[in-house]
Amino acid sequence: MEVATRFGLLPVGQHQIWTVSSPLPGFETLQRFVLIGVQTERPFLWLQSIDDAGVSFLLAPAAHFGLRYARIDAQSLPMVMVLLPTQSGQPLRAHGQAPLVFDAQLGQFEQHIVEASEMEGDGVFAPLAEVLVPPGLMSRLLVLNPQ
Amino acid sequence: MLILTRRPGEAIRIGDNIRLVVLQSAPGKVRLGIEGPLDLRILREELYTQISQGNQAAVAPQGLSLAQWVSGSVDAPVDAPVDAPVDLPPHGESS
Repeated sequence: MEVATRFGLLPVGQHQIWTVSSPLPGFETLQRFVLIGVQTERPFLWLQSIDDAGVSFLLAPAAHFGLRYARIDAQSLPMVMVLLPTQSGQPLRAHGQAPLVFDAQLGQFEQHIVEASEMEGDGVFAPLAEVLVPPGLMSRLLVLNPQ
Repeated sequence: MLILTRRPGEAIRIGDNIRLVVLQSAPGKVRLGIEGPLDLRILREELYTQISQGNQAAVAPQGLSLAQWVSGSVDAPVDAPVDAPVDLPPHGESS
């Protein structure tokens, strides 16, 4: 199927469609998404809504924002939405209290909602040398190569 | 809205598997216990609202490139479209 994305119309295979296990707060009608990775933009990925082309989120592993969660297994490599700066000079920050955990086997992801007391880290972008990708996620990633 | 009156120790059933118990009541405050499936999301409404607002703030606007956001130069004028032009892989291909 072809999907309208922030990168234009893209061909998306069935295996590249992710469903959200519980609706995202604020976006309760959106169920299907595609994860897009641009080769030159690692460790960032784009979570693009299939149901609403105007909705896409920039994601990155929580570890790149120094975030750790008491009740989420670090091995699952939780991702976070990136809050993009609106003024020059502002750093990238994470929407840290709502990490996303992807289950590549099921093709589903869940947004956990975390109390401030259940997390550590300041949520400011501080990239690690190692590019972390959740297990199995690459097999369902739509990869784009810059020209 | 359905309105029910309960006393401490009394409960309400919601559907087949959710039980809401009034544990304690005091002026201006009530303490509730909730029994339900482990995968049932139960949140204080103010936290849900906070997360909802965060999600909406995280929607990536069109018109700026990731490089501009990362470098912090988001005020720079740009010519749309500025997201990286791409070569598409064959249909359904993943790396």
